[in-house]
This record gives sequence, C-alpha cells and structure tokens, in this order.
Amino acid sequence: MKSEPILSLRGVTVDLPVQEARVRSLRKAALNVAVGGVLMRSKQDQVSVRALTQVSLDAFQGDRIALVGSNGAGKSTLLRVLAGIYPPSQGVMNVNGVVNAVFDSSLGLDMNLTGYDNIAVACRYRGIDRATMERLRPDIVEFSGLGGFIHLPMRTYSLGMMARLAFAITTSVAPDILVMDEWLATGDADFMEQAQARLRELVDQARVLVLATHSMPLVRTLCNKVVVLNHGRVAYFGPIEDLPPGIYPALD
Amino acid sequence: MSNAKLSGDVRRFMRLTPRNPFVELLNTLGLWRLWMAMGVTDIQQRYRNSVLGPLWLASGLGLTVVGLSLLYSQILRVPFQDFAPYLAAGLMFWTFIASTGTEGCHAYAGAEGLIKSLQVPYFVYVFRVVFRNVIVMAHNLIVVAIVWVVFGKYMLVKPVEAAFGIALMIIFTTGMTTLFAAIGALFRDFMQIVVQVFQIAIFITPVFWLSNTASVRSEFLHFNPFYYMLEVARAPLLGVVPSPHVYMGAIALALGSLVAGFVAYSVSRKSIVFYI
Repeated sequence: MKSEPILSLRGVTVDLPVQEARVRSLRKAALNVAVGGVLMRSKQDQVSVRALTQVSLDAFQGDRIALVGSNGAGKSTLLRVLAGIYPPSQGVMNVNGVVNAVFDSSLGLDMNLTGYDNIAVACRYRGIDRATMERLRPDIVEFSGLGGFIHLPMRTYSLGMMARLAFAITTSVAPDILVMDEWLATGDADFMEQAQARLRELVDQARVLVLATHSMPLVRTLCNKVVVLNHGRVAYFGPIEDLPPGIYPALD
Repeated sequence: MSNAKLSGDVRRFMRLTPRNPFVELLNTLGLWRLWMAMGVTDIQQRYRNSVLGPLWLASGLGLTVVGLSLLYSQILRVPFQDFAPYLAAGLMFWTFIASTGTEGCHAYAGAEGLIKSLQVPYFVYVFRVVFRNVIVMAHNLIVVAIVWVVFGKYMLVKPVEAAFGIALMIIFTTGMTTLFAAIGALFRDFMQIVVQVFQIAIFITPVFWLSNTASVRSEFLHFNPFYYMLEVARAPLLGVVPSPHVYMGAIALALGSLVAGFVAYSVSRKSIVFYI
C-alpha cells in the first residue's frame, strides 16, 4: 500500500509576466520561436509566458525524480515552484516536509566577510538557528578543504575555492525534499569525487529527490523516475524503464 | 555527513513561507537575527575601508546643523541655541522617514537574487531596510546628543514621551515602507515619484522652520502626515509634550500605515517574484 505523497502537484500552471515596454514587437518576434513556453495574452493585454501548463505529479517516499527536457521546457520553473519560490498561477501544491533547494551555490555570500563568517550568513538565510550552525560549522570547514583560507575574506578566494565552500554549506543539512538544478560542477577532479560522494549521501537521506539535469548517465544511476517536460507540459511521468520510445530519445 | 538529523527547531524555522501573510509577519519577527544582520551588513558595505565609517553620517548631520542654524536662526529670529537642537532632531527624524521610504521602493528589486532562490518571507527585506536606517539614525543620535549637551537641553528631555514618539514614528515608517516596497516592485516609476515627493515635503514640513510660527497656514500642518510623525518624536526631546491632537493624528497614521502596508503585502505577495 502506498502512503501519503510527500510532494503533490495538481494542475499547476505558472505564467511568467513579460513586462518590457516593447511587449508587442517582442511578442511578434517570440511567436515564431521554437524554444520556450507558450506565449499567452491575458485580459489586460499583459503578455506572459506560460512556463508550466497543468502539471500534476505525486512523489512518494524514496522517489528519485529526474527532470529532463530541452532548454526552456520549464525545468527551472518547476524547481522554483517546488521550492516555494514561484507561487502557481493555477492549481495547488502540497508539500509534506522541509524543502532544501540548491539553485545557486554562491547564494547570499558576502565577499568581504571571511569564509568562516559566511558560513553563519548562509545558515541564517537558510533558517538554520545559531546552535545548529555552530554544530555544523566544523564539518563544513573540514569538507571545504580551505584550511587557513577559511579565515580570510572571501574576495581573496579563487572561483574554485568559493564553489567548494558554497558546496560544503549547501550540502550540510539533509532535507526531506531535495531540489537541485544540475549537478554542481565544482572544483578539481579530486574535489569532484568527494562532492559526488557527499551528494550521494545527501540524496540517500532525502525522502524525495528532484533533480533537473541534462546528464543521462546521472539520471540512470541516481533516479528511478523521470519527468519529461516539453513546452511546459508533462510529456511523461513514471519509472524510467517504462518510458515509451520517442518521447525523450536521449533516454531510450 | 555528521549532522544529518535536523532538530525540530530547524524544521520549524525552515518552513518559512506559509500562505498566510499574518503568519509570515510573525515568522519574520522571529527571524530578527536575519534582518538585523542584513541591515548591519548593508551599512558595513557602504562604508567599507573608510576611516570614519558610518560616523560620516553623523559628521554630515553635524555640519548641516551648524551651518544652517547660523543662517536660519537669523532669518527666523530665533536664538541659535534653540534653533540648533530643533534642527538637529528634526533632520535626524526626517532623514530616517525619507531614506527608509525611498530605499523601501527598491527593497524587493534589490534583493532579487535572494528572493529568487530563498524561501524567506518578503517582510524580511522590508525590515532590513528599516533596520538599516535605524542604525543610521543611531549614529545621527550622537550629533543630537552633543548638541543637547552643548546647549544644556538634556535636562529638558521627556524620556517616556520621547521613546513613545520615536516608536510611533518607526512603526509609521515600517508600514509606509511595506506599502512602498510592494508598489515599487510592481511599478518601477514609483520610486522617482517618492523621491520627488520627499524633496518637496521636507520644505512644507516643519524641519527648517518652526511649527508654532503664527504666519503659517494651518493646512500645511494638519494635512501633512509627516508633521505629526515628526512632532510626536521631536517635541519631547525639546521638553514639550505634544498636544492630544498630534498624538491622535500620529497614532492614527501609525496604525493606518500598518494596515495599508499589510494589505499591500497580502495583495502583491504572489506577484512580486515575477516582477523583480
């Protein structure tokens, strides 16, 4: 018997308003474009892009869902809906648990503060209280591998070092529902290996994973279900092995 | 991973954006560490690597007060030692109201990166702007304190009335800023309007001139919301208890602005992320 879904979307539609002054010419130009969502016109002649159309899905305990589709198919929009950042224009979403969304690993960090202090900043943004942060910090410092640099201002870091720290921070708390945009490509080969291992741990602890990616090997090794998005609509949702041929050739 | 288990506390904290704006407001108050830290960081950024740092704010106010008081005390035929404290307090409060309101129009757009990737109640971004300006006001308070000591006004201060008046003014400003933040996010031209209104309002509000001047027509005072907010905070510092009329006006405005801000927040809440 299946239990209650942890994540449930019913008829979720998201319209992204286009507010540039040259809306009309933009609309004409965009109507012929094959990429992206469906262009819409609402009552007030407000042009909006329908990024998601009537998306319904249920995710249960242990589901590892890959989100695939061409550029502009609505993957990032759907992730933002799941993360509670975009409210649906229509439809409802029910989430039973804590969502941790990883979109941008450099998030909210202050370049003038030391890496050590930035751990506190990032945790504060994520709603992690001080005591928990103090508990997590040694682990984050250690995993970042920055050594003495952790006590220097972040503007002295290389991009790779920043990414290491950001990665260590964002993966320090295991959520119920982990929402990720692409695999975080960070650091040198050595770090990549550690990072993959840590992500795998995180994925194992999360009750539900939703991962938007273009990497098919990753989908095959990590996920059991797949959502194929096509122009904002769900073309297929179900186990990867049941994917009918032709819907998403890369996975056939 | 060593600390995978979340405490109940973190769970409660991470569930930050419920659908009910009132709960969002309560959560935001609970997140005081977050918006206070953001406000402090903003000020630090602004004065990074400068020797005086935020004290430049205070020195600017001090210079204005000395310079203008020399001139205005002659124009208005008021003793310098009376006009300088009046101007210092008035300018400090005016700067708070006007800067907070103006910066508030940009509160959401300025936090675009955070809003598009974090699940935090938007009130946080408003409170951050208010708190940042409270910090500025605290620095300006140094100048006011010096002026008070130099001219022996400190024994005039009515502390209870002053604290109540300043609290009312901050509440009014918070409500106004919540309103402006919502409008400013949806209509980018709004900030320019606000800037211009404050530019003219500083002259029609008794900041540079005395509110008890008989030659001033009363509508310049009674229909000017900023008059009430300024008077309720400033008068007790100068040893005067504001009239019941001023108190009624100030309390009504403070409550009204809170309601207006809350309604604007509730209405715009779902659109903001799409318009910044």
